[in-house]
Amino acid sequence: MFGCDKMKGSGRWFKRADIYLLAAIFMCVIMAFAFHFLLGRNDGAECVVIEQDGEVLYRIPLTKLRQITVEWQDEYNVIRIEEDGFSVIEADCPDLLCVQQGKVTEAGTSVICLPHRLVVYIDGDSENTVDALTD
Amino acid sequence: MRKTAVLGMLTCAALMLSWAESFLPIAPTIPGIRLGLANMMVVFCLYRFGWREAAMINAARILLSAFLFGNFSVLLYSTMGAVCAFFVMLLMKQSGLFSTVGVSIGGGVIHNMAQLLLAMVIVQTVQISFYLPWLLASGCLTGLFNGVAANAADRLLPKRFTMKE
Repeated sequence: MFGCDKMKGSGRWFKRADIYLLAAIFMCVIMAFAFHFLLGRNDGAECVVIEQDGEVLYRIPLTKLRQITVEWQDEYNVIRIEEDGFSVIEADCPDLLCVQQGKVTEAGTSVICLPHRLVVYIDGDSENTVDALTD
Repeated sequence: MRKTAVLGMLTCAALMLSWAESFLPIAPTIPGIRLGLANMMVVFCLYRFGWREAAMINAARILLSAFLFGNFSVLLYSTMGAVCAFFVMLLMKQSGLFSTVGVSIGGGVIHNMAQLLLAMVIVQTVQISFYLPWLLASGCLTGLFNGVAANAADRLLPKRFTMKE
């Protein structure tokens, strides 16, 4: 391939198995996107789910403006919930990736803060939503 | 002696690449997407010298960059990604079925998958799987790029520069 087969060195640029590998990865990507698309469909009222260390802390419907501070070992994340989505607006984790991810509006999409083991995502199917937070 | 010097230089190059790429915001919305340019050096070393030397370079660059720029969490994730990727690359190379580019693609993809799996275990959520297709695709693309670069280096760099005559 690329007419480089005659060149000396570490073999050909591409072999048959490489093409199979690329095809397999491509299929996986397509399937994963399709799977996510199917799961992320809106089936009614949306709510924001805040999980930390594998436990659901809050399930909050996307209705009114609200700010929530989640603490993790003397550190914190501030999550701002709006009518059409949420964002992590402030945190003191070392990388601040959660803040950089900006505002999320799509169901199934999440913001994750690995150092604080925090996951915030929009659940599109919220039949049994209970407003866990009252103040 | 020459080999030791070259291995030191390769480690240094890998360190510099991972330092430099931390300034390139490729996709800040998806954490974990990186160019993984340091893997270029590891792949090159794997083909030019062998698995022992490549493993040494890999271990040295991970420890050094974690001590210099990172923290314990970074060390954990990069070790997980690098060790898994290295074993898969080694197996792929030994099988003889794949070219340098194919081996590098496999390494890039496995690196990202291993880190995603570790994040799932630590954070205890399956929500992170949202990033899976993005990480698969980016690992594939960066692996392709690194593989082509490593293969080109292996072809173009005369053997007498890196090994004893």
